[in-house]
Parts: sequence; C-alpha cells; structure tokens
Amino acid sequence: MAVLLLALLPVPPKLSKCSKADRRQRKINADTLQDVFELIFAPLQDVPHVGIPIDCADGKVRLCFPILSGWIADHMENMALHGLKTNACPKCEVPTNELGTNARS
Amino acid sequence: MNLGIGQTIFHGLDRVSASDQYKPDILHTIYLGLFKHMIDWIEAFLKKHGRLQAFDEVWKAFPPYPGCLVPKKAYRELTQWQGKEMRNLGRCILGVLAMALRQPGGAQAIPFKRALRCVRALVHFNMMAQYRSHIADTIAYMEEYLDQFHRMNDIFLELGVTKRTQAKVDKQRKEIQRQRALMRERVATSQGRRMRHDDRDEEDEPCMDMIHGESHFNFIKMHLLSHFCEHIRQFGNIPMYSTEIGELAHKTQIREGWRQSNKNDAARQILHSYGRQHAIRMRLLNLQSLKDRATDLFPDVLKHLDRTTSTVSPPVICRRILKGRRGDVSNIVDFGRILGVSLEIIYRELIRYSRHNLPIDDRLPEDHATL
Repeated sequence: MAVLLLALLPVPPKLSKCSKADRRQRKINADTLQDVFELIFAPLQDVPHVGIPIDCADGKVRLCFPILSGWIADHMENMALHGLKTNACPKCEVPTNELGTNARS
Repeated sequence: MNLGIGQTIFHGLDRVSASDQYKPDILHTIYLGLFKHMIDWIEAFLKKHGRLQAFDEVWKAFPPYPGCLVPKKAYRELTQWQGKEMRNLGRCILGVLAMALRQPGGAQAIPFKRALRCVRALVHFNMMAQYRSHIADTIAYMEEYLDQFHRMNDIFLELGVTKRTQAKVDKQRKEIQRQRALMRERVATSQGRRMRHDDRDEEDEPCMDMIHGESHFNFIKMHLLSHFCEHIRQFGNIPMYSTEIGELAHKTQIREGWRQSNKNDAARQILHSYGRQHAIRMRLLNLQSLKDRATDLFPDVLKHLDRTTSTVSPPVICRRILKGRRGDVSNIVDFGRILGVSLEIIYRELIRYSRHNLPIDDRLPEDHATL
C-alpha cells in the first residue's frame, strides 16, 4: 500500500462550552471541513464518467475510471467526515440503545 | 436521528456510497477500544473475586517467547497503552487469566468459566480478523466467536459501570438512607440499632438491580465489530485497511516534512517535500530499470545514477547531529569526523562557497591542499 500526502486539513481549536456562539462556530468548522473535502475531491467529480488516461506499470497508457473506494480513519475522524453524531454507526442505522447487541442489519 | 449536519461530500461523487467508505480498523476498534474496556472489566472482575494478586504474579512471571514481549511492568502500573502493547496483551491475556482463575471455589466456578469464555471469544475474534485471506469457514468462525462474545459478556456487565450510573446509584443509596433515618427517629433506640443492621443488607439489593438495569454495552466500538465479517465478504481482508499504516505515514511524511521546512507557510512545504522526494525516487527507479535493460541513456544520466545508487539514502544522522551546540568540536577536522564527511569534501565546498559569494579579497585559495 502506498501512502501519499494529499492535503493537510485545518484543525480548529476544541470548543468546550455549549453556548450559542460556540454552536455556530462548530457548524462553521464542520462546513469548512466539508468545503475542504469538496476541494480535494474536485478532480474526482468527472473522471468516473469520462475516464482518464493513466500510465500503467507495464509501460502502456490505459483509460481508467478511478472511483473513491475507501476512507481509512478512526472513529472520530469518520464522524467528522460523514457529519454524524459521535454515537452513530458510519455504516448502518442502528439505534443508540442497540449498539451493544449483536443484531446485524 | 443520528444525522448531525446533513449533506456530505460523498453525495456529489458518482458511484460512491458513503457507507462503504467506512473501513474496519483493528487498531482503534479492537486494540485501543475493546481490549481497553476488557482490561477494565477483568481488573474489576478479579478484584471482586479476590484474584488480583494471583493475576499480577502470573503477569510478571510471564516467560519470554519469540514475537511476544515480556511485560516489563505490573499489570496495573501501565496507564497508557500503546497499540504494540495491546497486541502483546492480546497474545498473552488468555493464558494469564486462565492461570489466575484456576481452582475456583464453589460458587465461583460458573462466573469464572463465563469470563474465560468471553475473553477467549474476543481474543479469537481478534486473531481471525487479522487473517490475510479468508474462506467461508473462517468467516463463519468469526461470526460464531462474535456471537459467543455477545452471549457471554453479561458477566462483565456490572463491572463496566459508567460514572453516570455510579452517580445515580449513589444518589439512590443516599435517598434510601435518608428515608430510613426518618423512620428511625420515630422508633426507640434499641430497636433502631437492630434495624440499622438489617438495612445495610437491604440497601445493596436495589443498588445492584439498578446497576444491572442501567449498565449496558451500547457504545460504538461494540457495534462496529458486527460489520467486520460483512466487510470481509465485500472487500477482502481487514489488515490492509489498518490505520497503522496511515499513522506511520504521518510520522515519516508530516513530521519529517515539518522538520525540513523553514516553518514559514509550512503546510505547503510539507505537502511539496514528500511529493518531490517521491517523484525523484520513482524517476530513479525508472532510470535504473531502463539501465538494467541496457537501454541507451545519456552518459551524464548514467553517471548520476551510479552515484545515487551507491549512496542510496542521504545520511539522515548528519542532519540530526547538527542541532544545538556541541562541546567536542574545536576545529574543522573534528567537525568532519563527527559528520562522517571527509575533509576534502568540506574544503571543496568551502572553496566553492567563497568563490561564489565572497568579495575577491576574502577568497580562499583555489587549491584545497593548501588549506
């Protein structure tokens, strides 16, 4: 697996209070993060349709249709990415009081 | 509902499902998540049954074995667990626990057995999650272990009491005591003393009921395990999605990049520095393979290639040493010795520098032998 650094995300200072201004700031932070993601993904908007020529390891150039297929992050990062509350599952719609049961949906 | 903000970037992308972006993560979900909880449960369980001493002794006496670090500290002395230590713990916890819980007395037999089976199920699940390849049977095993873990983990239910539950229980206990005190004021003293003795036993019962009622395993890491098997069927083995690689990359790419930058608009420099190194490394590999195939290359390319392949990576250690003052450097000979650079090179560089940057009067002599 190759890892390439693509962007550094802005990390706002943590907000401890729950005042109205703080909530607004939090919303702004989350929106900013989403905007940054949008910027990063901008090149990916069209390529799944039209394809893009990419150099192959065997020396040929091939028409590729790259699709975003995974996002490796820990839980908190996932929550920020998907815009979910902290006790939500990023994969399914399990209610909070059933997290401990082994119900597979 | 669980949705906090609403639209995410994934909605705009074609053929991308937001829920498939999530990848199971052994490091955070199992090692730093469930194993951590499990340690707390086990500790409370051992304390409850008076086996903590035995456990610590076995833990300390653990013999060395290849691939298995000897735990240096006692079990309880460790406060901050790292992923590596957790992996080590996963390897030896079952054996240590089984040793600590041997020879159960009378009523302890069943809880001990259940606790062991619960820990065993979780450890096995973890081991199988690390398989690099799976067949239907191994996934079935994993599901079975997970089921077993969920069936058995009620033994630990009362032990993982959260702070909120504990506060509630304390409040209830105080309430009961207050009511009792009120009652007691009305009856005679000798009677009251007898009653007080009975009360203490009665107090515990509703509290235990409350702990059982309020405690739950409804935290997210418990739930994430249930997606592991499904994910293997869809996307293949789990270790390749581990966050450990990303965390390591953080070290090499971001920290090194930060150190090499001049701390001024550093983000851009960090982004560029690794990309540049990467590009050059790829270019070198390409040229090398071309050379191996005896393709015609320019002579200066060949010369450069020979030089770079002979000294593969720049000596990282030199840059490290240069930080701060050093007492043992008095002249340029010492300096060259510490850096591991020959004097000739230093002289040559000095002459080059003087030729380009200094006024004519201050220039060093052109021949480095005279220096």
